[in-house]
This record gives sequence, C-alpha cells and structure tokens, in this order.
Amino acid sequence: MLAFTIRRLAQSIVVLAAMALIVFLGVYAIGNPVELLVNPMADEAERARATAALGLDKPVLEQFAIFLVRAAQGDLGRSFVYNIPAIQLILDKLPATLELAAVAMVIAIALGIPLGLLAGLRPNSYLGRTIMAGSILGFSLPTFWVGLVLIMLFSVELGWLPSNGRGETVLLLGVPVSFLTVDGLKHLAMPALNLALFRLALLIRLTRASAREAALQDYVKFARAKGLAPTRVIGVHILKNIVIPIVTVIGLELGSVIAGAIVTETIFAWPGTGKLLIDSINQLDRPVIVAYLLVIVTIFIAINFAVDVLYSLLDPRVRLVAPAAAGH
Amino acid sequence: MRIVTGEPIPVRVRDAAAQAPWRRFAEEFAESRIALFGLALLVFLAVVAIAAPWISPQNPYDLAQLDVLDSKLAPGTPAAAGGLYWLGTDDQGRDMLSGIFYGLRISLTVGITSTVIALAIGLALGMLGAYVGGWLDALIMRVADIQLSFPAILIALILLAVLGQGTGKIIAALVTVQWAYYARTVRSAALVEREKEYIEAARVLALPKWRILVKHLLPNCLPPLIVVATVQVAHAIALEATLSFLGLGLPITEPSLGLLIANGFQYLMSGKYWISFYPGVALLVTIMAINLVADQLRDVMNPRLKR
Amino acid sequence: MSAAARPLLEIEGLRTHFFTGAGIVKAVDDVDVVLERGRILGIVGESGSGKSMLAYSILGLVDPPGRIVSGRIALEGVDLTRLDEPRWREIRGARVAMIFQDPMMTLNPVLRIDTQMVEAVRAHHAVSRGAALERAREALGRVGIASPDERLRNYPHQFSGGMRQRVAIAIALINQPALVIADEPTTALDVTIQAQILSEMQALCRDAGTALIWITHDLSVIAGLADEVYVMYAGRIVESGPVDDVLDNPRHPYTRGLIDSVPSRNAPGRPLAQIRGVMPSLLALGEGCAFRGRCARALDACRAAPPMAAAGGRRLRCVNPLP
Repeated sequence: MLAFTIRRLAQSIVVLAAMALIVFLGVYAIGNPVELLVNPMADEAERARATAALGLDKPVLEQFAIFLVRAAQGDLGRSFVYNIPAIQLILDKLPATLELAAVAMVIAIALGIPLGLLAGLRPNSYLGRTIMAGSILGFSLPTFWVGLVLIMLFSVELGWLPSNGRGETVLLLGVPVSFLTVDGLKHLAMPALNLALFRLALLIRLTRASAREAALQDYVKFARAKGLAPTRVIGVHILKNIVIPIVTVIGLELGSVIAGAIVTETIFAWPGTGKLLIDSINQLDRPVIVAYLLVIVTIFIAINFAVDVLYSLLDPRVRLVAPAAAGH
Repeated sequence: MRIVTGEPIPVRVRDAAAQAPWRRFAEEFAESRIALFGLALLVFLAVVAIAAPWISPQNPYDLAQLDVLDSKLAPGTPAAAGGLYWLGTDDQGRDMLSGIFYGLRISLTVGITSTVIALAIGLALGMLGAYVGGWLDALIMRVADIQLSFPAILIALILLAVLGQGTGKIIAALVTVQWAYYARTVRSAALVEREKEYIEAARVLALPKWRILVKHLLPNCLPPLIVVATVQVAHAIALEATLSFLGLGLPITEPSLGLLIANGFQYLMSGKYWISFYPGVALLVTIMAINLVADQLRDVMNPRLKR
Repeated sequence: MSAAARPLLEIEGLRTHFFTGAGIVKAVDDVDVVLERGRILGIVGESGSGKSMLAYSILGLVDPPGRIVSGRIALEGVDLTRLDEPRWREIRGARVAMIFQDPMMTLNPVLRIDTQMVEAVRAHHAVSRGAALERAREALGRVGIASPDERLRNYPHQFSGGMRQRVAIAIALINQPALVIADEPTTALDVTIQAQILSEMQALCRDAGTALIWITHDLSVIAGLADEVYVMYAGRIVESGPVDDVLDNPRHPYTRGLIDSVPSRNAPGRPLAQIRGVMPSLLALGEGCAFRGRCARALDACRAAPPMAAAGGRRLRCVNPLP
C-alpha cells in the first residue's frame, strides 16, 4: 500500500509539473495581452513600460522559472484584467462551481443507480425499456442546448425559475453556499439539472449494463438456490459486485463534472470558475487561465488518486492477495 | 420482484459455421428494430447533408438571396419571394431550414473527419507500441492514460485557446482529444492476443513480428475499434457544437449547428426560440441516431453477452 | 400410502420447454423420476441432454424464455409446480439444495464466506447471527475444513478449488435438506480431489439420510457412487434402473455406447470406441427416437417416438434394444 501511494504521489507531481509547463508555454503563444490592456494610441514607450510591468519582456524560460518559484509559494501571478492575485480570483469562485458540481452529482447518483438497477434487472419490461430509451436520449442531448430549452421552458414560458446568477448564500463552515436558501435552490435548480443530465444517463447505462451482466452470473443462481429473498439477492449480491466499477466511474465523473460546469456556467451566468475561464480566454488574461488549469489539474489528480485507493479498498481480490498453497 | 437471470438456452440456436461472418453480423444487428431505425435515420441525415446545396430552399450564405426585413420571422411565415419559411428565419433573415441543412453538413464533416484521422493515428501508435514494446509502448500508453483522465472539453479548450480559431484547428483539437481511445483499444486487443496460444506457435515458427501484428492483431481489434469510433463520432460532433457555442469553434463563415444555436441564444428571452431550438433538435437527432447504432454494434460484438 | 413409504421425490411427465425465436427447444421432455429417501440417484448424459434443466426445474429456477410446460414435481408430497414463488423460496435451500459445477463462479467473490453461509441459514430459520455462525462452523467442520473460524472470515478467492467446492457442499447441507442435487460438482476439479469429494459426499449423505441426485457426463463416477442410474438423451430418459444392473446389462444402444467409450474399458493399443455422430440440435429433433441418427440398430419403427417400457425395476425407451 505504502509503495503504491508513494509511487502515485511521485507520478502526480511529475504530471503536475509537465502540465504546468505545457500550459504555460501554450498560453504564452497566444496573442499579446499588452495590446488589449493598453490604449491603442499609446506609443512605444508606454507599451514598453506596460510590458515590463507585466514581466512580459523577459525570455520565456526565465518567465517560466519565475512563475514556478512564485507558484511554489502560492503566488500564481496577478490577473491582467482585475489586478488581483489570480489564485485568489480562482479560489473566490471555486465554491460556486463545487456547489453546482456536487448537487449535480448527487442528483445523478440518487436517480441513476436505482433506475439503472431497475432497467438492468427487468430489461424486457415496459419500465425497463422506457428507462433505457430515456437514457439514450439523455446521453445524446447536447448539454448546452438542454440549458437553453430549460430556460425557454421554465423562465420564459412558465416564469417559475430565474435564468441566471446564483441565489442567496449563507456561510457553511466559512464557505458561502446557496442550497440552504429557497432563493438559492431556485437558482440552483436548472443549472444543476442541466449539468446532471448527461451523468445521470451515463450512470443509468453503466448500472444497467453491470446489473445485467451480474444477473447472468452463477453466483446469482446459487444465491437464489439458497432460497434468499430477491431483495437480498439484488441488494447484497448483485449490488456489491457492481459497486466497484460504478464508484470508479463516479470518481472520474467528479472531475468531468467540474469541467462540464464551464458550459453550464456560461449559459446560466453562474459565477463560478468555468465562466471565469471562458471570460479569461476571450480577454487573454493569461495568469488566470494558467491558475485555473493548475488548480483543476490538481483537483483531478487528487480525485484520481482517491479513486484508485478507494478501488483497491473495495475489491477484496485486490486488497487481500490469496495466500499461496492455502490447503486444498 | 422476480429476478430475470435470462436462461442461457441449452442449445446452439444458430448454426454458426454455415453462415458468412458478414451476413451473421448483419442479421444480429438487425435484431434490434431501434438500431435499424437509427441506421435509417443516419443514412437519411447523411443524404440531406451531402445534398444540402441542392435541396435547400435558399442558400443562406449567399447575401444576394437574403432580405434582412425577413429577419426573426416565426416558423411557417410565408416568404416575400414566395414559398414558406418552414422553420422561421434568424436575425439576418436567413432561412432556418436551409441553415440547418448546411450546418448539418459541416457538423457531420468535421465530426467524421476528426474521427477518421484520430483513428488512423491511434491505430498507428497502438500498433507501433505493440510492435516495439518496451519503453516506447509504456510511454505511449502512459501519455494516453493521463490524457484520458482529463475531460475532453478541458483539453480542447486549452488547445483552442492556444491555437486560435479555424476549421483545421478544431479538427486538430478533436483529434487530440480522441486518439488515446483508439490507441488504448488497440493495446488491450494486443494484450489479449498475445496471451493466445497461436501467437506462441507463430513465434516458435519465427514468423516476422510485423506479420503477426497485421495478420492477427489487426483483424481482432477492428470490432472494438469500430464500436469506439462510432461513439466517438457522436462525441466529436457534440464537442464541436459545444466549442462553437462557446465561441471558440468554427469560424462564422462555416456555421455548424453549434454556432447556429449560439446565434439564437440572445433572442431566447424575447420568445424567438426557433433560432436556437431547431438546430438543437437536428443536433440531438443526429447524435441519438449515432448512439442507437453504436449501442447495437456494441451488443452484437460483445463476447460476454453471447447468445 | 403412508408418509414414510411415499417416495421423497416423484416427478411425472415433466416438460420444460424454451420458446425461442428460432423454435421450441424441448429441454426436458416427458421425464418421470422416483426417488426414495436417503437414496443416491445418478443422472448421466452428454451436454445438451437436459440433465441440468431437470435440476433447475426441480428448484424452480427456469427463467424465460424457458418454463415448465406440464407435469408434476412432488417433493414430500407437495407439488412444487403448483407453488407460488415465495413458497418455492421456502423450500429452496431448506428442503432441497443444489451444488453447481464451478465453485469459483457460484460463491460471490466480494462477500465473505461467513456472510454467504449465515444468510443461507437465516433465510429459513429465525435465529440470531451468532447461532447461524455456530451452524456454519459445524458445517465447515463436517466437510473437513480445518480452522473454521479463520476460514469463515476469508473470501472465496483465498481458497483452493477443492476447498471452495467443500464450502458449497457445506452450504447445501447446512439446513439439513431432504434432497441435494449436485450438477457436475467435480468436473472443474483435479482428478485426485474428485475422488475425495465423491466419497465424502457419499458418506455425508448416508450419515444424514439425505437423498442425492448426482448429475454427470462421466459414467465411471456413477459406478461407485449411485444406487440407481438414469440415462438421459436429448431431453428424455432412455434407460434407468439399479446401477449395477444397468452397467452390467445395458439394453439401450446409447447406454452401451457410453459404457464402451470409457477409456478403462478399452484394450490398450486399440482405437477408443466412440458413439459416432453428435447429438442433434434440440430444435431439429422431429418425431421419433432422437438417437436414431447415431444408432447402429435403428429401424423404420424408430421414426415413431418410442414409448417407455418398464419391467422389473428397469425402464427402457427403445423399440430395438440390446438383448
């Protein structure tokens, strides 16, 4: 276990460093942000001063070195647009994104697994087939378009829900959250649903496929031959077997849902890091782009690592190596 | 609730040897009426896309044919020049139906092109790794694994932020996002094949490695590759649409369905929904048709659900 | 007939058919079985002969597209085919238990052994977990597994193949059923372990007075184990009787063929005797004797379905049997 942990940790740091380099160099190649921030009438001297002030006159590698040193101290540069530390900008907006992502995942899991089980264990029933058809639909719907349709329906036509922004927030353990207020929930409803849809469909399909495969296995027949109640056969025998791949996928989807939030936040003007990223790309606010990517990459690596550890804990075949020659 | 375990039928229902593999495949595929419907839909969409210039009521990108006074008309409004705007017009007075036909064309082209290129690259790299083995193989797979652990949209965004706009760049981004799936598929197939005994026999007979790869590995990884490729076309189309919607995708001169949807976003609040809605329906139908076909392909080729 | 004299298991005219898109598969076709308490019955047949389906039918585990079409399965006087699912569940695992072929696949790989044993007890008896564990410990001891306490906390993959099957046997016997059905339980094991498990099961059943149905394709296993043998072919019973009698004086050509093809009965240096041909697809059986395509003694009369003839404890479904 320990060797595994250390190896993964070392790997993660290498990936992080590589990402930082790629990202930094890549972002360096786009346009010249000075042009955007400086008066077009400015003369060379002004430009030169602005360039120097932003540190853009030094050679690339030197800029990167400075960047790395500062990054290690938690300083990822200042936003060109807002002139506050980039990392602070990201961290300010992160709770909004994480809240959206978390609520979306909860919806996807709470609905996805039961529906998937139903569809997997009764594949030829009317209900099972409807769920499958629904999941294919959910899987095929373009997220951003669904967002538009939701707004069309619930904001424009029915006028029930607000179409942009985040609702009232309260502090929970020092972090502002909006799901504890009614207004917050109203604002959360559509974006969270929008974000959840694809994952929901994915989980239904995965659970269904796993359940279907598990139901064909001999151990299910043996469990039934013991005279066990169906609730136990499904709830214990089948579920424990399919929970492993499902948890793995959920773990991976956690990262994907934070990225997917980029689109949802843009449509619903949700003040999170996704919207910040799109704005920064359009405004060529390099430090923010770099800071965002590094924060996200770190989160992903942490999630992947946690999922790997969780997987090895859940599967007894991986956790407990069979002792050699254990009698006959 | 009674659990259906689906009894394995105690006899071989089909006499497998008597039929050519393609016919058997086609028959098994055709068992799902939904998949057949999806396939028919796909063919229909492809025909529409290819024939767009000839069947569109209007060429929406020919400025001479546009009348800006006709802008933002609701679906079903008759056109000043005769005929009907079946799905209404957008803010420039362009006929939505024609816009959708052309947009479909672009979306499908970009999606399929990027998939084909990614397939070629992934296949080549996967086979290369299988052939050379050792550190190169490990490196390729490591890079693929790491890349696959990041969401596609993030990778595409970064690439486009760096590369800028343009059709070629979008395709490059889509290819970058996809190649790893194919390389990994080839690699798993290679691992499975390597364990099989006839490979040992071939090696003992000192057959050249490349022969083994091409004659044995290639045919065996084609079925899963086809399934992956089909699903990826849908993903590529969806991703391109999303990127275009965010303003980072195809240029305005080649509006795919995503861009059409983006154009209509601002008119949503004033109730002119059709500018965004109908292109979205077209997009949805396309992706769904592909997924229906891909699902059945996967079921037919899955050895664990063998009938 | 008093309860004591009534046979434990009486099956009359059982038909289990599968309704597939390609036609009807008659997996079990007009099968009669009579089994007394504590006796051991061997059912012999090739793959596809319907022997496993017979076992599933008795347990009520036949799933769509298959179902029991007609017939009567009386266990201790109760007709199982008339039972609803909850009642059938009470009987499964309690009065009749089953052991499957591959123990690695039949024990749930992610659950501990004690969980899998305790649930078998508590599904039928309202006892505490501690009491159920005690029974589990006893059961493991009875099948010869040392240090049961430690073993109970293990997972299936931590056992060898033979031990896993012993666990499966322990689970089958844990509620002291009147009947145990074993479907090729030693086929997946090493030959040396096979013999051990065989004799152990025989002893266990004799000791507890449990009736045993042993399903196999291997005649030599039946010879040393069973009291009676039924030979199945293409869903039908073609011959039955006391085991020594049938093996010494087989009358059905198929039985003769099976006996002759056992390697130890062949002289060394000569090609092994085999039954020519293969079992026909159960979809294409048609009328008449299913064996006639492979039978050296086939007559025109064989084109009509041969009736079952019974005489002196022996049954035979053949119009041109061996003398």
